[in-house]
Amino acid sequence: MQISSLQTLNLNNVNYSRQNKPAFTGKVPVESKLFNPISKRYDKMTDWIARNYYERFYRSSFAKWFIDKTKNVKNMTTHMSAVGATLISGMYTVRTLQNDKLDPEKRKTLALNDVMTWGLSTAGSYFLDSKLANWWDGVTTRFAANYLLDHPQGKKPRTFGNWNPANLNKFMEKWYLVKNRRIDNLNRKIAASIADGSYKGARKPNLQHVKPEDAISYKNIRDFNLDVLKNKRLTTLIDGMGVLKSLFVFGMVYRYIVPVLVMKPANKIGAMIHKKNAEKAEQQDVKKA
Amino acid sequence: MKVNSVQYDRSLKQGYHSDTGNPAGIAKEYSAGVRNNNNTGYNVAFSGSGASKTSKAAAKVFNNLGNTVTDKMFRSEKFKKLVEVFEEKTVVAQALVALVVAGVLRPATNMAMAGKNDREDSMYAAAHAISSAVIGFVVSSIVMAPFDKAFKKIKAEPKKYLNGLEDMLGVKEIGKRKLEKSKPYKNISKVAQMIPDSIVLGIPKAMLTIALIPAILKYVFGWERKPKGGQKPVQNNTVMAYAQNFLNNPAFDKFKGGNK
Repeated sequence: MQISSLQTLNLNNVNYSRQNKPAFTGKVPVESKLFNPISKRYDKMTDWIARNYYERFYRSSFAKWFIDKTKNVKNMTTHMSAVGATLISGMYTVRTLQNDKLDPEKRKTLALNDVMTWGLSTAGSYFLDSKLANWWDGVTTRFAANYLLDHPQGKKPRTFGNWNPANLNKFMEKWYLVKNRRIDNLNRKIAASIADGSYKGARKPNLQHVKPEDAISYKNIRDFNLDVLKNKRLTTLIDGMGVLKSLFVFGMVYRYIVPVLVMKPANKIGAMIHKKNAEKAEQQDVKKA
Repeated sequence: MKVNSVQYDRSLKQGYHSDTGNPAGIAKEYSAGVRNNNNTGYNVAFSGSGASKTSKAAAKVFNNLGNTVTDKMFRSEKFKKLVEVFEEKTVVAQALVALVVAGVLRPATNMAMAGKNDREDSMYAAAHAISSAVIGFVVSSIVMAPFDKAFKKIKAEPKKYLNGLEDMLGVKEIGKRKLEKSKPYKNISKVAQMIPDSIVLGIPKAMLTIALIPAILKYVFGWERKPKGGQKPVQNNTVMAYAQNFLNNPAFDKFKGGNK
């Protein structure tokens, strides 16, 4: 559009406003004839699963019994991974024992090998998982600090002011002191503004300190986030970090460390010892003869 | 601890605040501080007074936060999405870990450690690992997709599905926030999420894994296992027949390993 034409425009002209109303050219999303029925059916199916699997499961007597028995159990992902692995290892052991093509002695040896591998893997996974727990808590807290660095609103600046996520551990310990100090400052400013008549009512006067029973020092970022920061996405991410650790430990131990890095060299050493013993026995037989 | 006693704790040095609550003001605060590593805001020099009962390790300051290689990974949106997948689609994430560990790392190590005498067995073991990982990932991803979506619905509208379970789940009322804090809910939800795959699909997946081994041996390693001692080749080529055949194959029993 040329500038000269702009200069002559009469913006009060009714015709102009009618004719030059920006025409809405955006397309209203049209339902796909092909995919819409499919997505509707898929949605219905997921509804059905939510009602008939999840809801029924939550309401089952098993769920009630299970919750009673696992009140103090932490990290259910680890236990479920162990249960799944036990089931599959059990199936392999049973199949080995039922294998008619092997002589009974070999069957027993192989089954024992399966059981030992499972036992070693399970014990190793739990051991590693518990040993890494404290270190991983630190990693998760650092991850949360990075999240707060990128999402400053998650730090609740209205409540706590501008604080540095690098000090998250210390902040978790003394967040209520920061909040109380800020409340003192605000109360002072509000009182001053009321006194000089410039008070606009943006904040209520006489803000209250954190209640003594709520002034808790947190060690765990999940609890701190749930009670103080209350950031929903951060909760999912913190939980996800815990699951990531457990699944990675179980995956590595069950599928890599024990079967490849432990059992294979162990089998080779076993075979070597067996071979040496056989040779010795053969030599002794020759000497006797 | 009494709040009064800590009100005047000067060990907490608070910096500039935007008391107006103006978003622009807040943005200014952050741009001046955190982003440029020139923090004008809350930068505590704790003297050890107050309610701290935590260990020295717990009170650690994160040096160089946001700039290390790990921090850069943590800050990437892709990593955050991946972490969300681990929480929200645990079974798929489990299969993903297996895909990396059993589908890449384990076969590579198997082949690297293989001697002249056991090359054939190592190849077979590698094929088994790849087969297990691929089958696990594909089946879990397909089967679990609607289950994951259904679980999301439960999380999004817990009142619709879980009303009346307040006592059992240890919450005053059913709501998203309340349930996030409930340990019973967290535990039973993880079980509900993992049962369809770990318990129900575990054995069929193992059967299918064995059935896929010949194909992987042929197409990945370019090698076909010949029947020993003049055995007749497999005539019945249905999946379950393959599974049965290979499960009973003596070669299969050479495998030693945990979660196959």
